[in-house]
Amino acid sequence: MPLLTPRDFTRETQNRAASSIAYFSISRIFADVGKSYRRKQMTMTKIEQLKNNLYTWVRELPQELRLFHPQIDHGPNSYNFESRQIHVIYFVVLILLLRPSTSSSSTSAGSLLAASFVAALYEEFLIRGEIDHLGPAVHKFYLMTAGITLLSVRRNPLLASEVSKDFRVIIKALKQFSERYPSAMGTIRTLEQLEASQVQSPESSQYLLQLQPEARALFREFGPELCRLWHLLEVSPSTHDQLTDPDRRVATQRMDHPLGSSNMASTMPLAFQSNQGGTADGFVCSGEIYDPTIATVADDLDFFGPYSWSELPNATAWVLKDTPFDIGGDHTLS
Amino acid sequence: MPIDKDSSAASMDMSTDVLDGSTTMHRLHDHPNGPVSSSPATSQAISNNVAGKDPSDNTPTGQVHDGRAVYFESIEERVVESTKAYPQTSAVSSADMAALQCYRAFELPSRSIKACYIDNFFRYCYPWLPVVEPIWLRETPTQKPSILLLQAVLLAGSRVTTPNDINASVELYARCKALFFSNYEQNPVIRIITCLLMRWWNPAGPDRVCMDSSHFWISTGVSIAVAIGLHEDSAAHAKDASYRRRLWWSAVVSNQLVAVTSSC
Repeated sequence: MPLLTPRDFTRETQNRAASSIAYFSISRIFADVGKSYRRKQMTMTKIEQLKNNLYTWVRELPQELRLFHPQIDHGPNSYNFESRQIHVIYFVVLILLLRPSTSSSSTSAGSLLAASFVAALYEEFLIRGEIDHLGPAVHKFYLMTAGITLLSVRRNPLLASEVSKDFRVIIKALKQFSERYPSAMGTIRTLEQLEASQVQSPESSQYLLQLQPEARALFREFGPELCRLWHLLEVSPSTHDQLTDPDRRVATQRMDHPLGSSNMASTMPLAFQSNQGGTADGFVCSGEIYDPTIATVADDLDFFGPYSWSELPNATAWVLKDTPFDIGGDHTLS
Repeated sequence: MPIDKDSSAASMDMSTDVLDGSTTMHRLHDHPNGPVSSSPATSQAISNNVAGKDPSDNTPTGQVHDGRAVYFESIEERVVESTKAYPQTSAVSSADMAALQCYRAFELPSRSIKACYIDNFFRYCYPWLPVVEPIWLRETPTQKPSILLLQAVLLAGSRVTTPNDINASVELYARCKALFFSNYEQNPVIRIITCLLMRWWNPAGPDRVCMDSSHFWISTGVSIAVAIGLHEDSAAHAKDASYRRRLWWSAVVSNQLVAVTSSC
């Protein structure tokens, strides 16, 4: 089935077409991430492909749906409720894709930064009274994912203050969400249990893995105004040493230029570059993110999982994978 | 309203159901209880597919083909006669009708509440589920909206309306569920839309097995979608291609999101 285009919408609803199309695209990427993890099919190649899809998606967003002005120093765009909802999904995907590829007691700086953005967006929903207007109950999953990532570094003394604020926003949003969707109370309980388990966690769980250059590109369309942890992108070497695990520390490539600089292209790994041509950054930018043949009935219907109660998997298992809260299972990528 | 056999016979062409209502509804079979009854609302939903008019003006009753008229296309021709191999048992029984009356399934909220819920549906729900056209919910001299579709839209709208009136949502959900399982609405497209709209109810998380969860309803909707060939993008469906794409992708994305986030 071909992908949607604005021509598939009627005259009366044409003005909503952009939001729907962007939402479908980012939701498909999110579903691809979740499916790959749950079926233990996530490979390094797959991760790179998904990162490329994400980059294409955020770069090709219509102006009215972008979070920030094209000139980043002009700050955020005017508030747009639909734009922020679809960006929640974008940052949740970043949380999942940027986490360590192998089991680690550290947390990825990229995941943490994305989690902080999620908290910032929900803080906006809270203050504007829009939690009640959010889409279906899947938002509790987004909040849980961000909350788990924030919790993993709460004991880091350099980050504790901002991370705690972000985490409180997550809990507050969940509590308000639970007034309409009581199932969110289960999510709150999950986070509280994880928070309590941190008391016994080893000190190494407070370390961050540095933000890789290619991951920085995925934050290129955003600025510092929304996120409390934006400074993670501009951390100095001395601060970096305090944040990272001394046993896993590598030389930091200091960013002397703003994210919008063309110097970014030279740091892009080959996995992000296309032999088919594209933008000056070397990314493939096209309207076709997905191969239409992917959307087969068998593929989509394969989500029908087991029906036996004893076979129902733990809902949070794949989300906890490769986080400091992951206590078992095959952690290595294929 | 009884169906005029003569006029409906002329419209029983499954390849061009322009003037037909639901293809499943208007097949007249030799049923023990007489002709298959149709809901008054949908039987009045006459297609407005006049040349030059926006196809979206059609209610979904006339837009999707039921392409499953035969077991083996290579053996028997895909014609309406093949649907009469055995009686279609989709009539609403007297017991079902009594249950619907008990659930007050045909009652609607006050005009102001109804308008608010519909407005909020299009404001907060439509971008994530662009499968309902505003015109389908309007009552005209020649057309009444499907009661199941209307109740489902009101349910979704009630879930994004402030203040939160959970009792109203509970009642709307019960009506939708009763209408759905009574087969009162026989149009498969409306049933798919309803299943997708039920996402906004979702009383349980992934920690519980629940027959009212969004996963249950979306799975049901996808099953119906596949059964009517919604996943096929063939030339035979060119007339309705845009809407079919929106409906199919809405079902796919909803199904995937729920599957990924609910472990089911």
